[in-house]
Amino acid sequence: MADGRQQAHTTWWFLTRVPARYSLGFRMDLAFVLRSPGLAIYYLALDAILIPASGATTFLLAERLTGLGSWSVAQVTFLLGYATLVEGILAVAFTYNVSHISRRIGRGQFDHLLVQPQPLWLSLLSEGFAPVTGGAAVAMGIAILAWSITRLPLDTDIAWWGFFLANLGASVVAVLGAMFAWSSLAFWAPVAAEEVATNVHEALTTLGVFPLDGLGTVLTAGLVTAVPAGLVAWLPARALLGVGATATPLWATPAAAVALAIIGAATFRVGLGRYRSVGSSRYTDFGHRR
Amino acid sequence: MNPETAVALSGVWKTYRLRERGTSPREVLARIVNPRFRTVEALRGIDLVIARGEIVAIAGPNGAGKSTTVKLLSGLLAPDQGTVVALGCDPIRDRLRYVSRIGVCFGQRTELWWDHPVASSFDWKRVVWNLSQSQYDRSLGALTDMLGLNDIWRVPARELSLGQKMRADLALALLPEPELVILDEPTLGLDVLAKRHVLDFCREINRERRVTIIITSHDLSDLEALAGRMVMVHQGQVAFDGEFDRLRATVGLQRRLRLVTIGEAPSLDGATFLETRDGAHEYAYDAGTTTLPALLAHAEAQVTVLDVETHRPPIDDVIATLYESWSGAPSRT
Amino acid sequence: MSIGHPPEFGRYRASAWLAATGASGDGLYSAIRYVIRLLRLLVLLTIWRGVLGNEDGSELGRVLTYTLVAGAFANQLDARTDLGDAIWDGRIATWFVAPVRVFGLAVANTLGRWAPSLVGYTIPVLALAPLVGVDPRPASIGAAVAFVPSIALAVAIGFALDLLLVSLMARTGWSLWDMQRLRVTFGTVLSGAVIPLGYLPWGLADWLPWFPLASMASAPLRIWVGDGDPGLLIAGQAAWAMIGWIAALAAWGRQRERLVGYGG
Repeated sequence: MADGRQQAHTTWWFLTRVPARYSLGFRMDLAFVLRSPGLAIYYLALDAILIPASGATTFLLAERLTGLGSWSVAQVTFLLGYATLVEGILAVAFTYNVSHISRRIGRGQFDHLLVQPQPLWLSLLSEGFAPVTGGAAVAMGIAILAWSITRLPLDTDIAWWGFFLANLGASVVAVLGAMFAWSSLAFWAPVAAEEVATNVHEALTTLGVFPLDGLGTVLTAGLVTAVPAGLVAWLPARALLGVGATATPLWATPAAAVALAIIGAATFRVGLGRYRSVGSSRYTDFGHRR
Repeated sequence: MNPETAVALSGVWKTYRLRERGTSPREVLARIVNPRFRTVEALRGIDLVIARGEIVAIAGPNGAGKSTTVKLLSGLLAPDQGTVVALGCDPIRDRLRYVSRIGVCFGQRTELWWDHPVASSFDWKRVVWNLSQSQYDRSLGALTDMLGLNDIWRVPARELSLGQKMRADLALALLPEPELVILDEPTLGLDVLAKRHVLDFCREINRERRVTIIITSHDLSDLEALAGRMVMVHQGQVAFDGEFDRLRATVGLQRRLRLVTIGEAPSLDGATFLETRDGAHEYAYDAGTTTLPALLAHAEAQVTVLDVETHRPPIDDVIATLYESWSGAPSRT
Repeated sequence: MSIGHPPEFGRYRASAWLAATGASGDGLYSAIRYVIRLLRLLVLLTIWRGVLGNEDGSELGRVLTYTLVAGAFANQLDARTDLGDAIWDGRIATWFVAPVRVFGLAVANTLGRWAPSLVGYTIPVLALAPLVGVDPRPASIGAAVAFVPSIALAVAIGFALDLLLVSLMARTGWSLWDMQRLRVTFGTVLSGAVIPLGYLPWGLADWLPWFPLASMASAPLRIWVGDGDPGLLIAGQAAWAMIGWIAALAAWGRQRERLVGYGG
C-alpha cells in the first residue's frame, strides 16, 4: 500500500511536497533537453530569443522616436526587461498548458488532474515546472533589466528590491488570475473557449510591452482588470521607476494581483463545480503533456 | 457500509442537458441566438453493489451509460441524485483519499508524458502518488515482468504503438498497487498475446491481493475470460446483473451446430443456417425446442454427414442478440 | 455537383462548412475572442494617438487606418492552416486517405474557420470604425482594387510559409508550439502587422519592406492606406509567393513520408 494513503493530509503537508515535485520537473526537463545536443541548444536559444523579441517592436519604436511619451528609451527597456522576466517565470513554472488551462478544460483533459491524489492547486503549481527549457527567458529578462538599470538614475536600495520582487510576483499572479478567470469559460463552452487563454495571453503579451499612459479611464480600467496587460509591466514599472506626473503606488500591482487571484480562483471554482456536474463530452489528447 | 463492499451505487441518476446544433446556415445562426437543448438521462436510478475482490465487467450498447458509470466511480462526476460510495469514501468529497487507493486506466486516454521516455512517467507517478522506493521497486518489478515494459522503458511515449502505449498506461494505473482498479476499454489495440498478458495480470492481482476490478470493454470474449460477473447497462439502468452463463440463458438455450457434409448445406427445420466456412456449414438452434438427433436425422435424409460438432454461441453473439432485442432489430440467432 | 466547379470543390466546401460551424454549438461564447481582439485593437489605436499626437493629422489618420485594417484582417495577414496541428496529433493520416488534396483540405478548413471571424469581427470593425474616430476607407478606389490581389498574395505567402515550417518541424523534430511562436514573434516584428515598417529605426524601414514577411502584412496594408506604389508592392509579393511556393512544395515533397509518421 502507498505510504500514508489513508491519512487525511493537511495543506501544509502538501506544501512540503512542492520541492519534490519541482525536483522531478527539473529532472524530466533536463532529460528532455539533453536527449540531443542540437535540441538542447535549440530549446535554450528559442525562449532566449523569442520572449524578448515580443517586445522588440516597442523598443524599435522607442529608439526611433527617442522615447515613448514620458518614457525614455532606458525606461522603456526596463519595462521590456520586466515583461520578459514575467513571461520567463510563466515559461519556467506554468508550462504544459497550466497557464493555458482553457486548453485542458476544453479538450476534456481535466480528468487527468482529478485522478491524482493531490489537491488541484498542487497539480497546477507543480505540473508545469520546466526550469531548463524556460530558464533562458528568465536569464534574458534579467540581462535586459540589468542593462536598463545601469542606464537609469535609480536608487536601488533593499527596499526598492523588495518592492521589485513583490511587484514581479504580483505581475505573474495577475496574469495567471486573468488567464484562469477567462479560461473558466471553457467549462461552459469547451470548443469556443478552448483557446481563450491563448487569446488573453496574446493580448497580454502584445499590449503588455507598451507604456499604456493616456488611454483614458475606461481602457485603463479594462487593462488592469479584465485583460490586465497593464499589470504585466507598465503599472509596476511606472511605480518602480517613478514615471509619470502622478506617482503610482508601489502596492498598486500587488493589490490588483490579489483581487485578480481571488476572481480567478472563484470563477474557476464555479466552473469546476460545473465540470463535476456535467463532465466533458469532448476529449482530445492534443497537447496533453506534450 | 459493509466493509466487504467495494462499491455501492444507490439510486443514481445522471442527466445531461445537450445543446442541439443546426446544420444549415440558417439553423446554425438561429441556434446561436436562440439555443435549444435536449435532456439525456444517462443513468436512471442505477443500483449496483460490488464486493471486495470481485471482478465485474460492465457492458452495454453505445450510449447506455457505461462511461458515466465509470466517471462516477473514478470521482470525475457527481451524481444528480442517489449516492456513490466506493472503498468507504464519497469519490467526490473524499477525492484525495479515494484516488490514492484506486487505479484508473482509460483505454483511449494516455497518462504518459508524450515527449518523455516511459521511465519518466513512472518516476512522475512515484513522486505524485507518494510511493516509497521499496513499494515502487516491488510493484514495478512485477509489472515489468507481466507487461513486458523492458523493451519500451526508454522509448518516448510518442514513439510507442497503440498496444505498447496501452501496456504502459495499464502499468501506470497499477503501479500504486490500488485496491480498486477501473479499466475502461483496457484491451483496445492490443495484440492477442499482449491482451492475454493483461488479462492474466488482472486475474493474478485479483487472486493474490483481492484487488477489486471493474472493467468495460466491447471485446466481450475478453470480459468472459476475466470477469465472473457481468453487469449490462441499457438506457441508464441495469438490464442484467449476474454470471455469464446466466446471461447466455436469457437468450434461450442457444447452440451452434457445425456439419461437414458431402454436398450443399442441407436445409434443417428448427435451425437457422448461418454460413459455410472451410467446407463446414454452421447453424443456430434452440436446444430447448429442437433436439440434436432430430436435426441430424433431417440432415442425413438430404446429404451424407461426415462430421458433427456442437458448441455454445460466442458471448459476442449472445450480447448482440440482447442489444438487437432491446433496439427492436431482428435477431440473428 | 454544381456546373463550373471542379469535381473536388464540394468536398472542400463540406470541410470548410464543418470548420466554420465547429464552435457554433457553444453559441454566443464564440464571440469571446472577438471581444479580446477588439480590446487589443482599441488599445493599439490609443497608443498611436499618444505616440503621434504631435504629428500632422494626416499621418496620424493613416497610421490609425493602417492599424485598424491590420486588426480587422489579422487572420489573413498571418495566414496559417491547421496542417501543423493535424500532423502533431496524427490526424494527418486520415487526411492522406481522404480523396482530396491534403493541403487543399487544410486550406478549406482555414477558410472555413475564417468565415465566422469575417462576419463577426472584420466587417463590424470596419463598419463601426468611425465610432472610434478612425476612417476605415482605403485611400482610393484604385487602392481598394489593388488590395484584393495583394491580400490574396499575402495569404498565399502565409500558406507557403506554413508548409515550410511544417516541413521544418518534421525534419528537425521541433515542437509545433515552438514553430508557431517562432512565426508569431518574428512576424509581429518584421511583417509590419503591428507597427508600420516605416517607423522602424536604423535603416530597417528601407530594407525590411522587401523581405517576405513584409509581403504578408505590410504590403497590403500600405496599399490600403495609399503608401507606396501598388504595382511594385504587388510585384514584390508575387515574387515572394512564387519563391515561397517553390521552396514549400520542394520541402513538402521531401518530408511527406516523415510528415505522416510524425504524429504517431
